[in-house]
Amino acid sequence: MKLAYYPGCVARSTGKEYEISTHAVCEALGIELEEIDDWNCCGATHVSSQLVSTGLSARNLVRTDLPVMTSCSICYSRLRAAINQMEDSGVREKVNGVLDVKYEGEKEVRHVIEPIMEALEGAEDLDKVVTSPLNGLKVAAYYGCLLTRPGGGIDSPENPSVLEKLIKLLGAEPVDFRLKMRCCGGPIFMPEEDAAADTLIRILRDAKKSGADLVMVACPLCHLMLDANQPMLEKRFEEEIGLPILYVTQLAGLALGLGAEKLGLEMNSVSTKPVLDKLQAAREEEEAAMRKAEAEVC
Amino acid sequence: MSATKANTETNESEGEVFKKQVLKLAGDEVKTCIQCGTCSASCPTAHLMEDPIRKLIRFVLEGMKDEALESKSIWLCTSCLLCTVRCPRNIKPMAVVSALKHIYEQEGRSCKDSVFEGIFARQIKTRGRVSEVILSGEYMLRRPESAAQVMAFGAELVPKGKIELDIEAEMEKIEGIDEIGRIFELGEVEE
Repeated sequence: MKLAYYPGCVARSTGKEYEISTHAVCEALGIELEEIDDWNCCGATHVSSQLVSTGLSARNLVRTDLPVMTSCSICYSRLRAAINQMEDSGVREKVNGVLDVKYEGEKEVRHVIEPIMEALEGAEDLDKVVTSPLNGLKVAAYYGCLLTRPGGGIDSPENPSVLEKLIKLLGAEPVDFRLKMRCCGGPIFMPEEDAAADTLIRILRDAKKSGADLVMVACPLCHLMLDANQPMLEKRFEEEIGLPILYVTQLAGLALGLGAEKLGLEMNSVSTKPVLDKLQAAREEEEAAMRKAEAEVC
Repeated sequence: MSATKANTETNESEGEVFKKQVLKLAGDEVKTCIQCGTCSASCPTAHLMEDPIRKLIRFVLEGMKDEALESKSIWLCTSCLLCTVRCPRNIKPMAVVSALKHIYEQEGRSCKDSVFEGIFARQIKTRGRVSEVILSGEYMLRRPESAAQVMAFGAELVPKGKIELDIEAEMEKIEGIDEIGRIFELGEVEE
């Protein structure tokens, strides 16, 4: 499978480990990525003019004939919103009036989760793909806001289950996580730190209460807010959280048998060692049980 | 005619113009709002807002320009789109907030939140992409009280190699920067 790849700005800075693990997982699954030439920022949630926002995403979409894949939920949402907007002939005419390459026909946008799911669900023998199943690992799937919004994308914007399905395919166990769709507040974090902190601590407390070993995220802003920001939240609220926050591609990579260094795990702020240790312990236990069974047969 | 009456009339017509502006940007269907409050009930930051989103829409429909534009609520919207997914009238409440921000900025009004949005948009306009180090650096210069927050993040991210301190590389422009400039002009001629 070949897809056009739209990294988005964060992939080149605070979300570097997301890009590293995206490439590693896609390569392992035979998904070929071709980076869009001279791509531009999608504007995220910070461009107040809808027409400008649509124009920015349209310029990225016209630069390839392949379906566009991105790992960032904000870019994914902006690109999809632009496709919806461009269905309006008035908007299309105005935007095409300023684009070098005109927007024509149908465009397709996919979140990295989609080709990963397809590769796993379509595998003849899943055990040969998921070579290191994440047995015993409890995962809180965090959707955040824009992965499923606006509707019509990867899953229901009200009651999605795609991440839980993925967690099961990887051999881990999804936990019941009440605030899985509560927005992290990242878009207003810079000027409205108190408001964002108030939301973030609720999400982390709820994830912790759910008994999860880690939170799995699909957006670099959610990751920044829950991971890099976690030590600051611990200080602010004077409580220990210590909850590893892994990107969907980092977790999938571990199940595919890719090493921690290939997935950029050392770049996470909250140590991912407890997750790796738990997996290692489960594997050793399984091997011991197998040896015992073999000995009994002999 | 008394001066007070004349003023009221001017205000009314200014309110009408404002209402039309918002409807043009956010969609004519905003007029069909039944004030059910589904948007406010879904909003993750509603508890922090003096004027929940339902009320902002009412302000718009009543032509209450200053009440709407100067409401702190428009900057507490995280753009999460849950209001838009749920509105039973298929209104896009978030688009109303975006329209209010847009008019606020176009009128040259300013607050710390619009300063951040302005820096973000200007980066795209001048380079085509956003550099987090320049973004946070410039915001810190404009809002010195944000220094502690920015520095704490820097201390966390720089050792991880996630923030590039090579400013020259961070200043590079994409090739299609003129095209980006034309895309931004779409916003300016919108009114």
